[in-house]
Amino acid sequence: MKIGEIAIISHSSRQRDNFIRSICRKIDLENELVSFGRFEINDQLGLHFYGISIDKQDSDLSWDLISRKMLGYVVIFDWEDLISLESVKPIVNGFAETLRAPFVIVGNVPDMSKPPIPKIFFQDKGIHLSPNFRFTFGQVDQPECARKILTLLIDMLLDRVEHNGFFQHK
Amino acid sequence: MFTQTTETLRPGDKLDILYRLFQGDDLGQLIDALDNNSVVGLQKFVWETTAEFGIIARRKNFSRREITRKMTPTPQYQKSRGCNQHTYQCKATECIHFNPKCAREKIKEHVKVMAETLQEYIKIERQNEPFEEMLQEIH
Amino acid sequence: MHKKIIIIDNDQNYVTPLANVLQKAGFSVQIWDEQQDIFEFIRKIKPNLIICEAHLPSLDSHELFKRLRSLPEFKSIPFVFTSGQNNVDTRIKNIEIGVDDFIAKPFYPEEVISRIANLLQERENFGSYQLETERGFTGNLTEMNLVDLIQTMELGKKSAVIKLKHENLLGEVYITEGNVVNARLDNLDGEEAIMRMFTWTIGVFAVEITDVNQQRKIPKTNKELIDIGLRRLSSWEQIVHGLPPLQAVIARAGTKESEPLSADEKKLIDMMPEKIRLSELIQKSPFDDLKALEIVRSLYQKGMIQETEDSYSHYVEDYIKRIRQNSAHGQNPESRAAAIVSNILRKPETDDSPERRHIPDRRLHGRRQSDPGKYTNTVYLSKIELLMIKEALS
Repeated sequence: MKIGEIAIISHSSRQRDNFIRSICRKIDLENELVSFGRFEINDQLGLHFYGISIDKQDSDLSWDLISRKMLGYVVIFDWEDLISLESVKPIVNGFAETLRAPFVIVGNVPDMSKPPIPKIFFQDKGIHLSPNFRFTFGQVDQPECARKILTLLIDMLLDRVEHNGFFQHK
Repeated sequence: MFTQTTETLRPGDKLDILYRLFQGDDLGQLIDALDNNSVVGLQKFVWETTAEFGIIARRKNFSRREITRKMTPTPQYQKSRGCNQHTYQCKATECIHFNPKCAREKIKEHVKVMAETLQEYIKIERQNEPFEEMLQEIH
Repeated sequence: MHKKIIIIDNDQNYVTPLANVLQKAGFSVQIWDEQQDIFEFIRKIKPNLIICEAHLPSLDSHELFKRLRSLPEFKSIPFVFTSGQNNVDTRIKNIEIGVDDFIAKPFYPEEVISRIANLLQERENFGSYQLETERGFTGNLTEMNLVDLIQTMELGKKSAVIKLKHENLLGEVYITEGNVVNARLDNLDGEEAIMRMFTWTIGVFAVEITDVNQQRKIPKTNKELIDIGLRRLSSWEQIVHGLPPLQAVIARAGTKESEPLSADEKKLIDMMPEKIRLSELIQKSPFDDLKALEIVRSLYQKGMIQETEDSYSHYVEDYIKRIRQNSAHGQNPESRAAAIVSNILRKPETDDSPERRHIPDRRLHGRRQSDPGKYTNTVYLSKIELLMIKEALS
């Protein structure tokens, strides 16, 4: 079976688990620092999700080893919590310096029927931060929303595959 | 063609800027806190985001003049600052290194105009939203 | 003994961080004070290199440079201009007066360190050849590749010899009045030689502005060459980003894929010794280097070749061993997940094992020489597979 691996990173274990549960329906392995869920497409193809919580003090998470096989990353923070944004910022900047992979940064909101800005501005392609980073709003405990976020990540991968399958230099 | 490029603002910093833009916060304090290169990057990013939003909101009616007409014209700005340099030198990318204080003030003004215009575009689309949702339901 | 560098610039936004970074890199740094006489200052310090802002209010930098070059005691000191004016005309002007390097502002101090180190190294490598060159400049191919150099010569309608050094290869490109006439690389010449050099993005170059007495062996115009060069470079960069660094040591892997191999793929894999550096494999292959790279990529995607442990510096070896121990039961997803989880859960302050102590965070420390600082994650799912995933999500 061919497996695609995606890392879900959040400042809170609740958010990262909500996202994985929204996609995978259940979580196979779970603790404070990491969780793991599977999404089977068919008998030959599946996705594995590694949910990772970040703490401001926790700076050594073996990124080098897990990162190399990741197709992409979803980074979630609470749009209404400034501390949450501050906690993901250095991680995002660190990733930008060390990895060429697609990242979808999600500003989690409690109610996607009333997002901070009209959906038309971010819905289809997210907001461009850099060639490998897109930003979008989402409600990660809502399965439909979580799938849209993941679809955005897959679209970024498809874009790269169109160009010989590799990430371009910035 | 010279292949050297510089990207001075990191994605995390841009996230911060987006947060402030969408919350309607003033970016002046942030501009004061950044180094010269990052300030130039900030201006570029805010411009690109505003233009993108403008294209979405205004579609074929979008034009850059819509944003720039509200900014103080360069000769007028130079005169107000008592600057004797050529007009073509009054660009953020040029002058930020020679007259950072003056360049930052100009950038602050431009960014303020862009942020306000961005809010206008958001307002336009909020008004359109019920209509768009109806269209989606039909399709 | 520390090499000495003088900085001539009044912009503290650049001078202070640059001086700090140069000192940390092991150079001895002196910053010129406008009150001092510049020639007395240089005479007193006896620098190994001078970095000078090209547009200073209190000093005509270009005049300074010309005077220094005319004086025997200062003639051989490498001279680097920096400026916020980074247009083509400025670069041409700097070439014409013969400055050694030009670094556009804004720059990252680390970039300057790298170029200065290369410049000083080239002085040692190229030796007398460089010192004899009265008009010319050197640089790094990461900053200015062959396409850039040809365009620069063309704009100034210069005659020059461009020497390029990439790993252990030395190539030359001959230009008469801005037009490329010939090229040489090992046993290749003409178009074949120059095509190879277009993909060199790592290495150094030295340009000597001089009359060139070469028969025209490259009939293509500069425009045609540059078009081809840019396409090759673009293709090269796209392919190479999805592979391990070119300095990586690779070996044949067990057959994971049942996809058949093409004749060229078989040929390349058959000629591989047990272990070989990726760059060496490409060089030694019977194919054009771009074609060889494409074949290597295909083999890598099919799982027929893989990066070996020899690629990693010693401090990562233990980490790999640990992962393998944890996934001793095989490559199945549960083992991998368990391996990752156990490594993630192990925090530095609670794990004082000898292996862990020797493994610094690669983000901070262990960047390999050929790695420009980023790791590119390969998209190992095909387009069809990604579309299937997208379909499943909708």
